[in-house]
Amino acid sequence: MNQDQIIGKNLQALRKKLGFTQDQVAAYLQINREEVSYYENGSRTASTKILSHLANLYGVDEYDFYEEDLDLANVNLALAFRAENIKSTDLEQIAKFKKIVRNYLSMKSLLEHEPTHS
Amino acid sequence: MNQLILEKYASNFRAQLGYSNTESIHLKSLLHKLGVLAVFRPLDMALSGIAIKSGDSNHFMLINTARTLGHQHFTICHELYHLFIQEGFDYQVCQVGLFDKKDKEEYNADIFASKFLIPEEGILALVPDTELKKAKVTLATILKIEQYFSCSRRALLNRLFELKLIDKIQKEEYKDNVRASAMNHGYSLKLYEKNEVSEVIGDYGNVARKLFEQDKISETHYYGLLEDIGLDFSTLRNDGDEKE
Repeated sequence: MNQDQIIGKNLQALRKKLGFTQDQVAAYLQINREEVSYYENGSRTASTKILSHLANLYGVDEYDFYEEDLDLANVNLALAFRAENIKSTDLEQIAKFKKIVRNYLSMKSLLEHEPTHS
Repeated sequence: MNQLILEKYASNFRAQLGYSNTESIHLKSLLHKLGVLAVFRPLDMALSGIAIKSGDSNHFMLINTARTLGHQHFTICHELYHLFIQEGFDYQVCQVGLFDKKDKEEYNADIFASKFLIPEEGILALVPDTELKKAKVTLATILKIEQYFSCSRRALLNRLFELKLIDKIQKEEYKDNVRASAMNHGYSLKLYEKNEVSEVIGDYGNVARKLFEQDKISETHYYGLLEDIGLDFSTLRNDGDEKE
């Protein structure tokens, strides 16, 4: 499996786990649905910008997308909800919220560990 | 979970936090006290709030400020159920006020929120004896109670109906012209309006600052973290004062 296929498999697994449709993800990324499909089947390389937006939406770290055996059970910032009522503008706000959550958890973990200058 | 158990949880939670069953709770202060990182943002209308819990000590909520202030208060209490009362909670996106019996925990959260925000003892303390005798609470009393507990008319009417202090006809009658009724009785309309605020409650900024001062993150990283919560440093002059 090449890297694009690994990323695609993970993108699709995460999207399905969180109950999003390709249409919703496309609207959130402001691209068309076919493009989401290409990323998920590994036939197109997702840019770092796309991956960064998706990491915020799915509540995972970008490097999770590269994991060959991504353990979905450990993706604990998942959100499953009644997707039919969620608009793309809300998805953007949810992604921003998840980013705040991730920032906070990273900061707390940094406080407890050795200094690492970023 | 039955109503009595949820009543007990709501009452115990109040006691544990140092509140009696007759006083009104300033919810934003409570969030500070509980160490919840709460993000307030205007969202499209489908969502009321989101709760996320990570481990035992990290609690997060997102509250939609494109709903009325009274509704936001109910949402906060609803999310508190998920974060502090519900067992095995991980995450939840909520559409508050639906009393959705299909989703057990959503329903429990609504019931809990109603009892925690507007306790029976507090209601009874505010209803005159003459109205209690007739089991007919007047509009003036309803306004007094909702203003005191900072709750929505809808949440209060559900509560009063459940306590048999109003009947179905009154419930229907009082649910309309809410803003006009408040104005006619001289109350502010703040409770019945969307405030669309964007703010973050919690120690996010303090933690970021501490990391920066301990040289664990760079200045750029520090400002980036603050920008993520919506702070705009371009509004400050170089000397740190706001622009006139």
